[in-house]
Amino acid sequence: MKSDESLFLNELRAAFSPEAIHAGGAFEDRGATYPDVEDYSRHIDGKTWEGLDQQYLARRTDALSFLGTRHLIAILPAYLNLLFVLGPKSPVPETLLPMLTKPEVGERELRKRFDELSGGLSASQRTVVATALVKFVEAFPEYGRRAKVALDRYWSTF
Amino acid sequence: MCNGTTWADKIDDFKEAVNKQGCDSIPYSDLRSTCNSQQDEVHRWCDGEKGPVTCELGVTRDLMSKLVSEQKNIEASKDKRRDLDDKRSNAADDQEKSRLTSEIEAVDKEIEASTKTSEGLKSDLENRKYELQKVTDTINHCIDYRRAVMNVFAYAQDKVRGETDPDIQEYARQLRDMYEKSKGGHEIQISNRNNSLDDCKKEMP
Repeated sequence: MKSDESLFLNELRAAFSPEAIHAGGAFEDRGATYPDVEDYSRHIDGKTWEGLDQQYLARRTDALSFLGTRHLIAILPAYLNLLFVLGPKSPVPETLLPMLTKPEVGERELRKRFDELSGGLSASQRTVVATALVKFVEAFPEYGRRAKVALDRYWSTF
Repeated sequence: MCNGTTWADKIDDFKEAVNKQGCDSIPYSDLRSTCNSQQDEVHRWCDGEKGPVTCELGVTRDLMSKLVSEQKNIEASKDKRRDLDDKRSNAADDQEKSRLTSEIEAVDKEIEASTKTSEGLKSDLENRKYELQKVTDTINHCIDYRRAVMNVFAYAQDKVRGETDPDIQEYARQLRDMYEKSKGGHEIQISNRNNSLDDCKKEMP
């Protein structure tokens, strides 16, 4: 399992930029009313996704619903990694898995978000998201239902 | 009607609000203060300070399956005991009777142990129910406060929409757009918490 984790971490490293995140404008597109904008921005600014405080990220997973797409993609590897570092009982899957699930027809706002996110990822980033979902289903079958839906609706093709 | 100073203050509040985010983007001090206090409650109830906000999955099913299996053991042991009892009644000699009595005593011990385990599992299930109820209660509070924060912004949006002063209108328009664009995030968070509530309901024994 440990070597599995480091393999996955290497896949994340290969697919996502190791550059420091600039928090400026992170919440401009869809997060102006997120009450923790300042705090969250302070926590992520100038850090690489690997250098972020994992416990803080987990506690403030709600930020994912308010971040603009560019910043969402910058921070995504940290949250994908947390799925396994903190396991299924952390607050991460609750927000991350629905965010990675292609919405059903009719949910226009959610669909727009999903299309922007999935469309903004490179081929290798999409593959690593798919890998994370498959691994999550395998590692935590009891919690795998939502990850399975995400895979079935979109990611299993990568 | 506002006097000159208050009016200037109001324009300043709007000017300031468009450059702020979160609760500080509300130009009305009363609503801003409500937003901040409700958000403090969001942190308390949603961040784990008041207890877990997710229900561990599969625990109830494990307990139930152990209980069913233990109850099957008890029934099987009771059948075995009845059978041994019949045999003892029909036993031809004392030696056979004594052997069957020993076997019955051993089965009685098995029944006693299984009954004890079964009672323990029943008590675990009761505790489980209590734990799940507690998490459900915490999630419900979390949802209530998240909804309260969302509603403060909805109310602020209505209020800025009603601003007619030309000096304020441009700021009001910007604020209205800001509020509108970020409404979805609050709704998503509430929906995610409702998913967690569903998980807890499914776990309830």
